Amino acid sequence: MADVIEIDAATGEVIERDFTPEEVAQREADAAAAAEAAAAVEAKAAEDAAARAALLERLGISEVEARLLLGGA
Amino acid sequence: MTLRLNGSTSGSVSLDAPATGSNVSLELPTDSIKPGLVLVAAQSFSAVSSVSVNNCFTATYETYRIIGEMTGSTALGAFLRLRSSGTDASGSNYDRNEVLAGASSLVDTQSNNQTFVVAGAANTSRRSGFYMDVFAPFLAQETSFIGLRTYPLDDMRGFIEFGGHNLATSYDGFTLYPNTGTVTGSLQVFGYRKTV
Repeated sequence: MADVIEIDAATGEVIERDFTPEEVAQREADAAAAAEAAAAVEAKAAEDAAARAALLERLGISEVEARLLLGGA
Repeated sequence: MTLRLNGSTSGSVSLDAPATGSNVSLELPTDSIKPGLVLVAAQSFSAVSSVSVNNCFTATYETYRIIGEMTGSTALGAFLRLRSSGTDASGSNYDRNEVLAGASSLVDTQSNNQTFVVAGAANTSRRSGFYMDVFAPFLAQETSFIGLRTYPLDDMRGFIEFGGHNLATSYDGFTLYPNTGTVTGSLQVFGYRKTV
């Protein structure tokens, strides 16, 4: 299987080829950046969940009760 | 004057005008001949690590919609970069904000100076879909993005994506690539008609 499929919308030409060395290097950098971004999302989600749990505990109500209070289901 | 559709016999259309009489104009409803979205590119792909579409952004349209559906060889994100003359714009010029509609909450994440925006997500066991509107990529001005994508876990979730590319540069295409593994699926690119 080729790494890349490249389409020319003007001519309809379709090229299937492998990565160039430059594209391989770019892909490795992309993978590192993606891992960093995913970790940031997970960290933010965990941080928000912990903050929410702490707030509910201070208020002495459950998450279900909090949703009812805010008009949610 | 008679407009006759001969579909059942010859698959043709004939227009019969009277031999005498005043001139008559035949006007078709505007919406029947000028669709709002016009397909400019379509392609399926199988187990590839990158899909590039060249020359899909032109002066004909200003705003475009990219629609795709796919599965992945593993759980992955499908990233998108603008492209010009066959070269990806891979500099850190993309600012993005994404909102994850999670199991019980919304999680907002801002990521500036990135090298991509995220268009789609894919997984092995469930098909996923996305669309992304791309605003004025061909004009030599900043390009912005608004997209939605499913996030295929065991319980299907979703993302809203807002993005901007801060260079005042004209681009004629884009590359969609998974951050890991390969993708199998299809995509279409539509141009939004600019005038009535």
